[in-house]
Amino acid sequence: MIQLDEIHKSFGENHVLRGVSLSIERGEVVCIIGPSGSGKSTLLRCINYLEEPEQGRITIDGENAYRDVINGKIKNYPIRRIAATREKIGMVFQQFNLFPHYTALQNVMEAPIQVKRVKKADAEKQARSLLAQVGLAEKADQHPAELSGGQQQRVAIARALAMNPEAMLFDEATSALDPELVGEVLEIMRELAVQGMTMAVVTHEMGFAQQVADRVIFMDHGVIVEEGTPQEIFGSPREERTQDFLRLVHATA
Amino acid sequence: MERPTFDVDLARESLPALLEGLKITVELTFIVIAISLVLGIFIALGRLSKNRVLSAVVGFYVDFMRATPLLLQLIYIYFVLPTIGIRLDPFVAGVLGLSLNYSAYLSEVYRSGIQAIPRGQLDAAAALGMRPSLTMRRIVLPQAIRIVIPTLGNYFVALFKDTSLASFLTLQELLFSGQIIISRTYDYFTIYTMVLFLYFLVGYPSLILVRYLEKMTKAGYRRRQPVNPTLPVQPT
Repeated sequence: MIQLDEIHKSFGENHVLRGVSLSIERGEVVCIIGPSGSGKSTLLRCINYLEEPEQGRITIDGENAYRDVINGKIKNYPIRRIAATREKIGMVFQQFNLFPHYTALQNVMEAPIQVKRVKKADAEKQARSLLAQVGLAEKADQHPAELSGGQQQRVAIARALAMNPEAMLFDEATSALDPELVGEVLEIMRELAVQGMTMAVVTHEMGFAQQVADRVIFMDHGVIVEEGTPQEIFGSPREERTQDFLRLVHATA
Repeated sequence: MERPTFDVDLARESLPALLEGLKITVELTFIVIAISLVLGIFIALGRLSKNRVLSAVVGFYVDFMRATPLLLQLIYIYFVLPTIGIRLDPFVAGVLGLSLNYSAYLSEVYRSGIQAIPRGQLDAAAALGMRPSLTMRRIVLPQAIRIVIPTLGNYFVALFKDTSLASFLTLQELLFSGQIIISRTYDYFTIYTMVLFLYFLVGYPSLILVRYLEKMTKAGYRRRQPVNPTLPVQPT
């Protein structure tokens, strides 16, 4: 469904992605692991074009998603078209990024009403059912500042789901949470995976990757070092860098 | 030199004219507030625009208004524009000059507010398929305006006082109304004391109001009354 080919991205002198290729099938759960600074978040942000890579192709369902190359020059599609593609891909952020001036309910209703032109009553009905699904029915009228981190992240997941996305991106969705709040968010993500959602998950939660992922990708220094099933990556990693990383993670876990 | 004395009879007699002047001052203030509140947003958006020409032109306008004296801008509009055939009545000239100046200042206030909104808000909106114009209108501006409300309030108190510069355009606002009486009676002490007092009478409560707004906006986004006050508070 989603295909990245030879993606290069730099921030100034810092060459963060050095020719990364990745494909995600419909219904697949792909977990991306690796040390900080390995480029995994940047890679995820390329999928919905929050980062514009200098080189490389991003296709969704076989079509160029955000831009074309015309006479050797990269030309972005109009923002209208880019936005329409982003609608199909939900994203959950490390820092939740809820809209602080709206209630939980309004956060979930905002995009369906403003972007999809859903009727307000329908949007509210859907939003309430999504909030119930993430266990926050009774928090609908609270503002983000009144919610715990775990609750905020669950609202953020509901907000993304409200657009009926075909795939979901999770960018270290539990990294900013107090340890006792991590479980409630992972549980929601696990349910989504079970329901067959296509997911790309950048995470430090090795347990989650091991249990939920169909495929695990290990990144380091802007390249994919190794990929395989959770059994392969966690059970018998081939690459030395993967082995070192996993040893380090287990030592601190 | 004689000790000045407050002439109660003159004060009583002058009060209606001064109150009439105060009315003009307040009207002028509110009209200019309304115009520059709106115009300031558009100037800020122009300055932040990705269109380099637009951004540069608007930026120059803002800098020009900030780098030259307001009094001179007013004088220019009222006394120089007629030489090229644009003749404005004092009130209109005052509204125009003050609005052009204050919207330039307010645009900088708005701009700082817009730039204070974290990048994550833009990311979240974009990821939901919102286009930049929609994001600006629904996500960024509502938060930015809330941030800058106290600063805007302070500018409005400043504007209230700056309207006195329109006295140079023979506009009969509060200060010039006093000066007209003085030109007849030569009683500086009584009249200027009254004028000062009348400015304070409006200006001081306005300051208190701004202080209150400051407190309100600092409180953050919450409901005023929790539905369930026994709810445990999340430790931070």
